[in-house]
Amino acid sequence: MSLSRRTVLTGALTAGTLTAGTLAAGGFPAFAQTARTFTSAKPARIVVLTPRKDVGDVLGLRDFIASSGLSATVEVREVPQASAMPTLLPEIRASKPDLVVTVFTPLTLATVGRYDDPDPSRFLTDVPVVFTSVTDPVASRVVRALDRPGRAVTGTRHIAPVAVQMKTMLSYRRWKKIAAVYNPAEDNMVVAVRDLKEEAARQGVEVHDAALPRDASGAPQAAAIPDLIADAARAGAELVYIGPDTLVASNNNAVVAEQALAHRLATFCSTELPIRRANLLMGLVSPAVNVGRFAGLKAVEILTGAKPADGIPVETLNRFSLLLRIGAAKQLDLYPPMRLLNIAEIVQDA
Amino acid sequence: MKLSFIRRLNWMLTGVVSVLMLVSLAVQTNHVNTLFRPLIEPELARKAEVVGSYVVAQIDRAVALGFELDKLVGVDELLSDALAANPDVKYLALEIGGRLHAFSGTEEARSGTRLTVADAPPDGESPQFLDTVLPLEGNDEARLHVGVDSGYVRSAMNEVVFDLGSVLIVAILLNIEILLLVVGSSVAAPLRRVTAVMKQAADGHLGVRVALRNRDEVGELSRAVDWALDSVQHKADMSASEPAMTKIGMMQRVVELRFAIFIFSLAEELTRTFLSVYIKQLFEPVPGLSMEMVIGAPIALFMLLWAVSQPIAGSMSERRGRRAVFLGGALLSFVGLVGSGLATDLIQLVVARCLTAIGYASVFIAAQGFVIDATDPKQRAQAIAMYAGGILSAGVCGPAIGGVIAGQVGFRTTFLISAGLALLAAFMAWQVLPRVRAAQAKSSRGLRLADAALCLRNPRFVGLAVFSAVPAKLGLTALLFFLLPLALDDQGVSQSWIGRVLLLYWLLMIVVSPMAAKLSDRSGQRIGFLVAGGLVAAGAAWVLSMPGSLGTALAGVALLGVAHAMLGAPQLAMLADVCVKERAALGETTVIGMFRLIERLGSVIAPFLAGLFLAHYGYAGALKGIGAVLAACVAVQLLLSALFRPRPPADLPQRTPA
Repeated sequence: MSLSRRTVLTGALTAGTLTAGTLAAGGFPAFAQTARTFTSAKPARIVVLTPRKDVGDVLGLRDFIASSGLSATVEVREVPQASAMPTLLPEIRASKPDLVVTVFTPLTLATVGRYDDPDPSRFLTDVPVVFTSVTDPVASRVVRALDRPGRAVTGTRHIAPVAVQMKTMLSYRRWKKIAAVYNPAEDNMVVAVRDLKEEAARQGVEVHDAALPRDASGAPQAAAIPDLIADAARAGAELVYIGPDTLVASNNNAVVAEQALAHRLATFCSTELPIRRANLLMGLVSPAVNVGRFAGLKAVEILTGAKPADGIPVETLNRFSLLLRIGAAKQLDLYPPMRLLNIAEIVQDA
Repeated sequence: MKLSFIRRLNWMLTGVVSVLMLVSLAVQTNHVNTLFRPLIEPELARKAEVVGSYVVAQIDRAVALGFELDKLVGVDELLSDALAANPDVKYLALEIGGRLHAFSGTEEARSGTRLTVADAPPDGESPQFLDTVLPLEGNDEARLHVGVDSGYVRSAMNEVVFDLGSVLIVAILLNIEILLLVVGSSVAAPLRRVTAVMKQAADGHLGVRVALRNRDEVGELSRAVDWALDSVQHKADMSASEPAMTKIGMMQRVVELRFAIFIFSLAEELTRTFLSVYIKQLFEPVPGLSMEMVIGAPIALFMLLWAVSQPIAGSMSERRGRRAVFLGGALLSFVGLVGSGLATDLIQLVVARCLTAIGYASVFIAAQGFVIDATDPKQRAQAIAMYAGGILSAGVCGPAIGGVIAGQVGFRTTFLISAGLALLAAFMAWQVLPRVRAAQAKSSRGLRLADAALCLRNPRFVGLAVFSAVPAKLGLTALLFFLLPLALDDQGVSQSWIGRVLLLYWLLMIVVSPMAAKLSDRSGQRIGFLVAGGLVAAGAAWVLSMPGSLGTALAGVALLGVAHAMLGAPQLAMLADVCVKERAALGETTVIGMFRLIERLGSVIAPFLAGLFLAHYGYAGALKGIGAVLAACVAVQLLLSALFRPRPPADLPQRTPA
C-alpha cells in the first residue's frame, strides 16, 4: 500500500532527499589512474570565495571534498562585497590555487567575468573555476551554454525550474494574483521575474510587479519594501514571491516576512536560507548543503583530471525540498493542504 | 436412427451429474455464510485497518504539528489518494462529532453530512459495507471510517456459481457427445447390425454375417451369431446368394465422425469470445479505412473464403476422397490456428485466418459428404441432423470453455489449444474415415453460375434466400461474432462472461429449434414464422443496443437465439415449396447447396456493414443499424411474398426456363 506522492508535484520535489550525499558515499576509483595526483605532501589548493563563511554551499563543498579522498586544502575567503574582487584578484592569482570556487552570482561574475568579454587583466582566466548557487549562468553570461560552458568555468544552480515553483505555489492554494518583490539591479532577478510572468500567464495567474525603486544615483531602495508590499496587498495580491535575490531575499527577508504577515499575504521563496531565518510561509529549494556537495563533485572531477575542466556541464539538482513554516501558516490561518504537508519538510519557529 | 438406449443412459447420467452439481452448488452457497464469510471478513477488516491507520497517521501528524483537526485543508484529497491506491476500499470518511468532515468514495455510503452505513441495516439484511472505525488523536469525537464492500464476498461467490452453471451445461453436452461415441459406436450400432443380420437370416438369407471385430461382449455376441449362422447354413447347405448388407457398418462411423466434428468445431468456437478483440489488439492503421472496417476485414474474409472454398472442396472430396480432403482441411486449420496464435501483425493474422477458413470449409463439406455417402436416403436426414448436432454442441461448449481458458492463459495460448483440437480431430478422422475412395461416389454436379441464375430468377427464392436466410447469417455474424464481443470487452466484461452470453444463443437454438420446427410444420404458417423470426432478430439487435451491459446483452442474445431457432426449419421447408421447378431441373442437393452458398454471403458482408456502422455511430448505433437492416429485410420479404403468391408455375409461366 502506498499513497502516491507523485501526483503532487511530478516528482520534482521530495522531502529531505540528498542526491549529492549518495554520490559521496561511493568513492571514486577513477582517481587513482589520473595524470594529476595530489598527495599529502603536495595537496591540491582550493580557494573558496564567498560572501559569508557559514553558507550551506561552503559546508557541503568542504564535506564532499573531505569525504572524496582527494588530498586538498580548502581556503575559505569571505568577500562580502563583489565590488572588492578586482583588488583581491592579483593576490589570489599570486597564491597559485589549483581551483577556485565562487558562491552566488555576483561574486562569480566578479571573478570570471562574462564568457564573451574575457579580460585577463580584470578576471581570473587561467585557473579552473567552479561556481555554486548561480541562478542563471547563461542569462548572466557566465557560460555560453549549460551543457557546454566553453571555458574552464562550471558549477551548480540551485533554483527549481519556474514551472515547478509555480506548480508548488498553486498546490497550496489556487492563487489568482501573486506579487514579485525583487531588485531590478540584479540581472538574474530580471530574468527570473520575466520567466515567472510567462509561466504565470500559462497558468492563468496574474503577477504584480513590485520591483524596488531606485534612488537618484540608481541604487535600489530596500527601504521601500514595506510600501511595495502594502501596495501589492491593496492591488489584490495574495502571495509575495521572492526569488534568488541578494538584496531582497538574502538581506531583507525578515522585513518581507514581517510586512507580508502584517498584510496577511502568503510568502514563497525559491532559496533556502530566507525561509530558515525569517517567518516566511514556504519555499521550494535545493538545500544549499546539497548544492555545495554537487559543486564539490565537479571540483574533484576537475582536480583529478577525470573530466576536462571545460567539458563539465552546469547542472541543477533534480530534487527539491518543500519547506513549510508551520508558524506562518497558523498566523495566516492558511493551513497547508494535507498532500503538501505530507511531503514537506516542516520548519518550526525558533 | 433411434437412440433409445443411448438416450436413456444419457438422461440417467446427465441427471446424476446435474443432481450432484446442484447439490454441491446448494451446499457451497449455503456455506458461504458459515464458512467463507467468517474467513474472508476478518481479512477485509484487517485490510481496512491498514489503509485507515495510514491515513490516521497523516492526520495525527498534522494535529501534532499544531493544526486544528476540523480546520485541516485537503483531507478529501488525502482520502481519495488512499482510495485510489486501494480499489477494495469503497469509502473513507472523517467524522467529527457525528458529522462528516471529509469523505471520499461511493455516494451510497452517505446522505448529506451523515454516514449512513453506521446505521443498523433493516432486519434480516446483511450490511452492504463492512465499516471499520479508527480513533484519531487529539479529538475524542473524531473517527476515521473505512468501508469495505461486504458484497465482495457475495460477488466472488456468484462468480463461482455462474462458472459451475456453465460447467454444468457443458458437462451435459459433453456427456451426450461421449455417450454417443462410446455407446453408439460400440453398443448401439453393432447391436443394430446384429438385429439386421438376424432379420435377413430369418428371411432365409443365411449367407449374411455380422463380422464385427469388437473385442468386447458385443463382439462375442456377433461372433456367436456368425457361428450359429455358419452351422445353420452348413446344415441347410445353401449357397450364398445374399443381398448386400451395406451401410450398417457405416453408421457406426458416422457416430464416431460426429465426435471428431464436435472436437473440430470446438477448435473454432473456443476463439469466438475474443476473436474480434484480438484483431483489435493487432490493429494497425490502414490509410483510407476506419479502424472498425479494418477489424471487420479478417472476419469477413474468413467467411468469404469459407463460402467460396466449400463448393470447390466439395467437388474435390468427390474426386479425391472424403478422407484426404478432411485430413488436408484439418491440417490446414491446424496451421492457420497456430499462425493466428503467433501472428504479430494484422497481415499475418489475416493470412492465418484465410488458411483456417479453407480448412474449415474442406473439413465440413468432406464430413457432410461422407455422411451422405454412408447413409441411405431414408436415414440421411437423421444422420445429417446428428452430425449437425455435434456442431451445435460445440457452439455451446466452445465459447463457455474458451472464455474461461482465454481469461486464464490469454488469447494466444487459446489459439494454440484450438490448433491442438484441430489436430486431434484430424487424428480421429484418420482412424474413422475409410481409406478407400467411396466407390459409389455419385458424380453430383458442382455449383455453376447458370444454376444460380436459374434460382435467382425465382422471386420467391430470392425472398427466402436473400431476405430471410442472408439477414439471419448477417445478424449472427455482425451481432454475435463481431459487435457484441467488442462492445462487452469495451465495457470491461470478462472473457468468461462473454462466453456465457454467447453460450445462451446456442443453448436456445438447441432447445427452441425442435419446438419451432414442430410448430411450424403443424401450423403450416411458414411465412409467418419467417417474418416473426426476422422481427424478433431485429428486436434482439435493438435490445442489445440498450445501455446496461450484461442484463441487456443476455436478453438480446436470448432473443436472437429464439429468432434464429424459429427460422431454421421453416426456411428449408419453404425452400422445397418455392423451388419445385428448380429442384426438378437441378436436383435437390444443388438447390440446397445454392441456398447455403447465398446464405453465407450474409456472413461475408456482416463484418463490413457492422464495421461501417461502428465507425460512424458507435456501438449502440451499430447494433441499432444492424437491427434496422434486419427489419428492412423482413419488409422486403413480406412484399415479395405478397407480390408473388405461391404456385409460381401457374402464376409465372413465362419465367420458367425451357
